[in-house]
Amino acid sequence: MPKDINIGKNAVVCKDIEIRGEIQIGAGTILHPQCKILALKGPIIFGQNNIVEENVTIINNSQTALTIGNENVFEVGCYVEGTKIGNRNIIEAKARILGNTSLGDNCVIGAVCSTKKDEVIPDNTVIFGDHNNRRTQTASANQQSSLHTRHLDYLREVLPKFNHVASDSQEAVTHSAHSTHSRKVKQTASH
Amino acid sequence: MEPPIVYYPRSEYIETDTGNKVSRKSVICGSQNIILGGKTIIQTECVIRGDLRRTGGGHAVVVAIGRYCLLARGSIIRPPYKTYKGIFSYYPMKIGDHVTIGEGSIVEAATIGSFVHIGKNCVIGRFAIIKDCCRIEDNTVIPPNTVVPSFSIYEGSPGVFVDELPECVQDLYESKTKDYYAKFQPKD
Repeated sequence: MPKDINIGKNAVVCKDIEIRGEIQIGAGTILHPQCKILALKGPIIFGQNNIVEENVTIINNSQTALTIGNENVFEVGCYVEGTKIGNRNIIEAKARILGNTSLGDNCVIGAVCSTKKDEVIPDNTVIFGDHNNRRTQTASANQQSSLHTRHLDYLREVLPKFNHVASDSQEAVTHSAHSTHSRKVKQTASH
Repeated sequence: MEPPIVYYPRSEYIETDTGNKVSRKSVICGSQNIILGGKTIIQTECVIRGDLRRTGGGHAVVVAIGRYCLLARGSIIRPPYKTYKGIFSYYPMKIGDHVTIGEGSIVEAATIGSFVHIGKNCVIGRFAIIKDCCRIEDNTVIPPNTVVPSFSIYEGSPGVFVDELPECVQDLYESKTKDYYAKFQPKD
């Protein structure tokens, strides 16, 4: 793993990933195995509590930094270029964000949908269907965010058991200490 | 139409006692939680996520795949997740016999029946249920929680019913998958 990667507290970064260039990974962000984060020219900066699933490609081809906010979900096989991703967005399977697009907050890019090149997508946009139709999000964000926190908790517990997790983050150690502690608590509770 | 014999380099695939052929270049997480029925082919760059198991202790089967299945190049099998009664968990996925999953397809279904053909670059949403004897055309997106009935053809994004399959489709897919397995041979 290259030196100029910065991993925040409580983040889970699987070893089986392709990483290039200058990357900052915020606290609590989870990278599944087989994802690709390529900062070819400018850096890529992740916020907190993002989930990046397998076969996701996040690529920065421009000199300026690609900033990604908090609590975003990048589902299997999506492709992200862009300049800015806001908070609490869901990029579904095989969705594509192209060119210098910037994404607001609470957006959903549906499965296999794609954005145009170089556009600004406002908050609460949902892109869906065959012709990349758009509408405004009506569902409340609360339900999604409670699902997201539970998903994060689950992955933090399970991923290190089955995958090799980057060891250069000492947070991984404190985390595992924490999980053994919680397991002890469970055992005593069962007695 | 007779399909050609497909040759692969002998070193690229591992063959198990039950005749499963698994590519060394596929990614299989949590292999102790995955069951392959036999004579199933898993091609290069496939990903199977057996590590995403149900919360709670004990032995858990995460992905069960039947006999004579084909997971073509770059397909991804991952179990679906949801919160139920406030507890977040991934749930097991079951795939029947004689199922073909095309190149680059992503499957997060709850159940896939037997004699199912899924085309290339499809996305099968979380907790979708695909019954026996179905065809999902190339580039289809099946939304989460959809139930695809038997003998139907689905197409589009979101996937909709377009046509029916004849009754002989069971025999057709059975002989097709057996034929593919027989013609998937090593070459040095």
